[in-house]
Amino acid sequence: MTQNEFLFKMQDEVLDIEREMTMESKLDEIEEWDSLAFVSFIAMAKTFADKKIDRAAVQNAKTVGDLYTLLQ
Amino acid sequence: MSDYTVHPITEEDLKLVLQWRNSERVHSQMLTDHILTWEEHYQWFCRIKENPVPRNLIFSYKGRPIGYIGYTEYDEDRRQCSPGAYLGETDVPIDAGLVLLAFAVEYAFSTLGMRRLETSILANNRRAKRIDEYLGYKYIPGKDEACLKNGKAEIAQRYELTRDDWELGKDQIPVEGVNILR
Repeated sequence: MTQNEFLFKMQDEVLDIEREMTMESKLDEIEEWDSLAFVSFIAMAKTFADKKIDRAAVQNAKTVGDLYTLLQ
Repeated sequence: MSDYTVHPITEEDLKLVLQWRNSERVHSQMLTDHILTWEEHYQWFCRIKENPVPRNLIFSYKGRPIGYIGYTEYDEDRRQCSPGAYLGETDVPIDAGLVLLAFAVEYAFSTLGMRRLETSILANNRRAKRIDEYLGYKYIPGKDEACLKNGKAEIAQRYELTRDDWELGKDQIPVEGVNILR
């Protein structure tokens, strides 16, 4: 998944927001990054990257780019 | 030991649960527009409190109630029901939703002895569908239902999860245990 594809999926499916974000966007500044978005992200990782993501690694992520790195 | 616990709903929990259930955030995700009154809520509690195996639970983190799990369409003969769960509070650990949803499924199979779960999801709620598919639910063709949401006709799609599918896939779900308080 390219960075642009990832950003689109984060906005459209994980966070369900319309405003744009970047790989540098800080998760703690995104109001929609909540418990439901957390599950959505882990579900997306399984669907699109076929990866079982470590829960603690997601909890430790600081930016959108950190989440992208987890999918690589 | 996990910081997450569940306990059967008690009379003391009722006001909080009604507040959660009728909040815009929770209510907007339900298939019905109905706002519950206290009387309806209390009558419901009087009915369910006699269940021999609790199927209406309060989900807590470090002793603080943060969510609710309930099982409807309960069919003991066919060992089938429909789980529902939500977080009532928003200032919760970020993994609380994952723990809640996975536990709701595990409890249905391991404690309630269910063989099959069914759930309805609004067709346009892609995020809910993605999450349920992640848990192992599969779409059941031909069981779509019409419902009225915010005065508009909507389609609810039906999904199922068998115990066998859950057992096969649950290793892929990164969750910790939840302590069941009796």
